[in-house]
Amino acid sequence: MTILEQTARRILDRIVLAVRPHATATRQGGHRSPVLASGVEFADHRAYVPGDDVRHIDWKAFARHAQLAVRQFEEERDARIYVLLDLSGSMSRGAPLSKIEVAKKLAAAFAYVGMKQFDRPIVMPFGEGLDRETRALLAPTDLPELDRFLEGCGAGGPTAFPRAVRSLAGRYPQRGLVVVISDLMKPDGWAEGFRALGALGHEIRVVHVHCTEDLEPDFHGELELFDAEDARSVRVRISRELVQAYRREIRKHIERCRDACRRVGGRFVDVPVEVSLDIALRRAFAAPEHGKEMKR
Amino acid sequence: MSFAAFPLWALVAMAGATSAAVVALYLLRRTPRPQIVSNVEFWLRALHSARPQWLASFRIPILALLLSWIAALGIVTLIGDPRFGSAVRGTTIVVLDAGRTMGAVGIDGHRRLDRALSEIRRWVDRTTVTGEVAVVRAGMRPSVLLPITDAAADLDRALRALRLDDGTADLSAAVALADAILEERGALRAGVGQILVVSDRPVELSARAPIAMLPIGTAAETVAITGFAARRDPAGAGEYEVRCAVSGFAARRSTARLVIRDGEVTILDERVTIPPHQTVVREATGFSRDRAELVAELDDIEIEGGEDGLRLDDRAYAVVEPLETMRVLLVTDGNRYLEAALTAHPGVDTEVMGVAEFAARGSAILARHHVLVLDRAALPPGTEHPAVLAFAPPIGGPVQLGPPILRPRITGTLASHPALDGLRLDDVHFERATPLVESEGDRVLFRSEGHALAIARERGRQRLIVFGFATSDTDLVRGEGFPLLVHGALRWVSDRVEPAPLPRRLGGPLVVDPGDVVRDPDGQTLDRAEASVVPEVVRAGIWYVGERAIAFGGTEHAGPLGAGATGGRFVSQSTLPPLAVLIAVALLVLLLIEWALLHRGWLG
Repeated sequence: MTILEQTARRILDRIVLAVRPHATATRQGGHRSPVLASGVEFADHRAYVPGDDVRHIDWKAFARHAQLAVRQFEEERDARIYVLLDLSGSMSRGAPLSKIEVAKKLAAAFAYVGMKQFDRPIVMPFGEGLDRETRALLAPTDLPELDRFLEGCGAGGPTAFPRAVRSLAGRYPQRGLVVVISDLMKPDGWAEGFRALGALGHEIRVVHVHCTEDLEPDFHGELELFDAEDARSVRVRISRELVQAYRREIRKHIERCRDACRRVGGRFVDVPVEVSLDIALRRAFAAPEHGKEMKR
Repeated sequence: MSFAAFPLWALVAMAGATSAAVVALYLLRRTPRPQIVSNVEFWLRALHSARPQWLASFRIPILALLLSWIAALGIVTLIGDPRFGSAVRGTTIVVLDAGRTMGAVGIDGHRRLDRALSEIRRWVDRTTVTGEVAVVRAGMRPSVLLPITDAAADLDRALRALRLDDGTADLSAAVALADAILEERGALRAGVGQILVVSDRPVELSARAPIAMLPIGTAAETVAITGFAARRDPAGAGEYEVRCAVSGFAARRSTARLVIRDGEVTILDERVTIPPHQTVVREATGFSRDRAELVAELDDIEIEGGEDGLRLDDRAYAVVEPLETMRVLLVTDGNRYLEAALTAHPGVDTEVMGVAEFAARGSAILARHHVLVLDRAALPPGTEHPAVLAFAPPIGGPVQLGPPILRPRITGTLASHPALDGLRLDDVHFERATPLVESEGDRVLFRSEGHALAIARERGRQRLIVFGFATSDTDLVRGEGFPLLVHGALRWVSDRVEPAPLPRRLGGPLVVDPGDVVRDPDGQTLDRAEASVVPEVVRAGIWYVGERAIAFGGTEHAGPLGAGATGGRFVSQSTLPPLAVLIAVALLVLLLIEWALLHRGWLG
């Protein structure tokens, strides 16, 4: 049984994951890069200086303007795609599908699209750090391997996103697209991690997987709350005022994460677990709306 | 609304069930449900940031709020209940003084009975909350006014027919009756019986059940008729004498208008002044051949610095019996003194017969006469009469005669004999007399030295008075005492001495002949079955048995009015505190338990 069913793959086959030029890698690929070199796409003319390859002199332009000019071309490169999958205990919550189940599908989807574009995606589950990851997946034929890897991933334990970012930076210096799939259910560390990723030159896409219990809880009465990530518990009497205060806290936290993501030019999308998979995929891969993304 | 209307077992059951429910709900409320959340940190931050801004936003579970509200409402209701803290359990017998003084009006302007009824209603309300009550009417004879009930509304129905007696209440008998009711009810064995005595008199009472006194009434003064009697005047034909005593039970002098009426005829109308705590007596005379129904009444009473507190003791009643005709056969050959003395009395019907005729007709006519008066005559041989009065009997008469004596003088009289009642014979002279020879049992009415001049003999049902002198031989017949002597002698020999015309005592029975109709002072005919006795008469006035009038006065009960004080504290015999206190204590215990459990860390 594969995580990505045929229906999902058909949807993904029509999706192209664009990576900004500054985040492309060094190998030739399908993404535009900021390097003007021996590409096939004409970019611009510039004045000839001694030492330039005379093969690049545009003689037609010399005939018209009587000045030597060389033609410049955009170089198309590949892109590294790092899929950071949150495996903290809070990801086990949610219904009818848990957040981890949805997150796995989304991680597989991003990897599939990357493989289809020969971008060598790497799926990296993280908790308190980066424990393991897939190898750079080369082609859609590696999908079964990805399936087996994701089936072995289960939610549990605490989250330390900054530590995971530091591990990523140390082990994978190449810039690329970092897709963070998480429920963000930890009050701190997210903005710090996003800033670090931005500073490393990565393009960021945050997929916020959430459930109703996280954002709009319907608790009341005398409750003993157990933390899904650690052994902590707290006994509270849930009132309407407390629920409203909790909602305010969650909204404020999500907005802070969204703002931190946008400050580094990243994209932030919300994917509730209650929606169908095709809607979830469309939301996760949605192109940025014009003018919404902040310029670096 | 009051839970206290339920019986004790129901209260205990309800209290237990309520307590169990409250504790269960409390524990249920205090037991948290486990809930896994993604991260409790957000909830802790929410706890810090959540601030109640309105009263309604306090974190009070609505169930606890409702329970607290109901409990508070219940307590407030119980406290607001006028019976709060005063419910009396068990069986309470209220003894209500229904004597004459309960009709007095004190300085507070309230009639004692009204205050007593108000108090009784209050106590009955209290006692019927959690127990049962009966009311004993303590009149001159005790009776049950309200049988044992637990419904306070029954009291009003019972009080509708309540009327005070004109005499003094017998509280001891009423308490004994109350004690018997408690004994029969089993309340004495259970220790839940009690007697509440509502009276204006401080009396010492004892019973097996505990007794609580509830004094009623405020100080009052009164002017009362303390004595009222009438009798026929022995010296006057058809006349009677009235004696009325008026006492002032006041600290200052008082005046009153005393009016004594015989039917429509006023025989005395005088304003009397009574010094403090003194008694004045007024006498009057009246004339009536028939029955005299006398009413003495005090009117327009003025007490310095006060008011007459009791109207009941301002009236008194007396009856003078009608004159009964005494048929007398005077056997004489002519004696105007005797004839005049006999005819002077309106109650004497005299027939005069000669000695020869008397001897001829024998005993045939004797049975028609009550008294036989013989003047120088004797009964025919072989005849007897139960009442004989003889002057100068011949030899061979019923009394042996001694030798005649001249000019005797009365040297001794038997003044205590009814025949000589009211007479003085020390100035009587005789020309001659024939001494009488005493027999055993004879009583000498008067004598001269050793000679008996008059003797009275009583043998069985026969009575005889013999005078050893002729009316022509003494000046006694010329004095006004002679008719009196004749009438006294007639009354004695005929054994028709009039009873003292004093009014009957209240509370005593009224003996009635079968067939007689009894009417009370209002003229209402008593519904009397076949009984020949009205067991007790508690109402002063003139009663009628057939055509005979009988006065029941209440003057012997007249006296100073006690000065009780309305109020008093009724000591409940219940060992259980009021329900509201129970609830409050239960809530306090629950709070203490919760505090202890929290202190020990057994509760979150």
